[in-house]
Amino acid sequence: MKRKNIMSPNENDEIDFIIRTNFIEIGEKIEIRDSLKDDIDCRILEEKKERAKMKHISMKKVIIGVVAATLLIGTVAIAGSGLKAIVGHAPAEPQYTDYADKDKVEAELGEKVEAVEKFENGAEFEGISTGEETAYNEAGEAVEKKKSLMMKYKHGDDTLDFSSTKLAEGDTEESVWEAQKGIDQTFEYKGVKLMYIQNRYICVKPDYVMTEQDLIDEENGDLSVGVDSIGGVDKQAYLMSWVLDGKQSSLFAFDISMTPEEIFEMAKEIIDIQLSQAEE
Amino acid sequence: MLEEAELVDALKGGEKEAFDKLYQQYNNILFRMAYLVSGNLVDAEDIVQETFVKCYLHIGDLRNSEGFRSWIFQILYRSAYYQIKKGTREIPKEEVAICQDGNEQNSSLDRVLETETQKQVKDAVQSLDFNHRAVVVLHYYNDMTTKEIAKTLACTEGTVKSRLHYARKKLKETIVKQEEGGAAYEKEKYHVS
Repeated sequence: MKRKNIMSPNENDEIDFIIRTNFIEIGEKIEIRDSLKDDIDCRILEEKKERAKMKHISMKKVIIGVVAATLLIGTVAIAGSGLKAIVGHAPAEPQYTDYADKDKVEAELGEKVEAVEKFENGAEFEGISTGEETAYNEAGEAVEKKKSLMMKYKHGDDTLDFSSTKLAEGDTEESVWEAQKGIDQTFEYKGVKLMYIQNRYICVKPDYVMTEQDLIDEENGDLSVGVDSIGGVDKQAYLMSWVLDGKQSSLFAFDISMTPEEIFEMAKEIIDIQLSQAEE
Repeated sequence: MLEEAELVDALKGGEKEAFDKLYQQYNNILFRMAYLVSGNLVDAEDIVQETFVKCYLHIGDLRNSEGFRSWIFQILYRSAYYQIKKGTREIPKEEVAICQDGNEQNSSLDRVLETETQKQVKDAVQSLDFNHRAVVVLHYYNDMTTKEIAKTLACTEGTVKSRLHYARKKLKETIVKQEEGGAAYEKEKYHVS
């Protein structure tokens, strides 16, 4: 078949004209099908239902996941929140391993670090870092960003992490407690209420499909799910958390042999320091 | 008749009717843009669907209602990027489905049977990568300035100019090759042995 000569190498200036007119002509040949609007309306309805369901899950609910993720992996998104993702960043290894360097972290955070160098049970300071948690909405926009203090301790074969993060604007101790599901035990020390949570933490690849049981466990607070490109993490997570002076503090560990009471004893030492600093 | 910005404000206030009107205003232009970028109708439908769903759900994020046009184009291009990246629709469906019995979709497909020249232009555009295709469609089809394209694609004007320059050069080369090669070009394109 003879091909229509649309341009020659010497007619370079015609390229704009050719593309423009042909785009218009091609465009004129196609019309959107009427029923696509019905498909769109259906999808909007479904998305709205899903969003209404997710509204009940707040950022606080996934804090155990955030803490776990940032401490374990460094960078991870948390699935299951009403937000599209909460991404935590923390160095895989502590930024500073000398306790004297905590003033550098204080400078980064812009506040005093209430820390313990060595606990009475023998748990010893191993390192200190700053972390960051960013919450993203469905449009991928950062809607909330918080800096955290991260400290690592060694107790025998167990490794524990302490984190402290300012509460998000509008949050209170009550709202944190209200939103947190799966609390296994509560403690109280000098008027400070502590929650103890033991749950399963998995970190999965983005294409992981949550099973029915996963969804039930997550809803009940028995499972926290992190997402990263590697996945393959399935651990028991232990968290002792409390709110004091506008900050949420947590002692956190994976697969440890310590009892909740032992972790509570460590928390008490930190609270003592926090209370004494609050009085200053 | 309400101005576009008023419709956008009404949609922000939750008025579904406003969405329906905006849909009527934009459905075909977005569909055609999606088709020119993706090169096939099935992907174009998916892209448009995604775009309108996002538009409805995230209209609250649009601060300046006057900027709706640019905003929805942005969503379209992001959706197109992800749709094409998925790689599931690489084979132009009209080339596969054209022989099937005519239903609503196929009658559309029939109508997209382009003239020789249109096919050459479309093929040449499809030979570009996504970023260059996007610039080409916004420039030639939507008649947008480099500044407007830069805003839509969230890049600098310099990048737009450079992409446009490169795309124009490549399009010219491809079209000339099509002209000169004829059947040989077709053979090369479809890897016919």
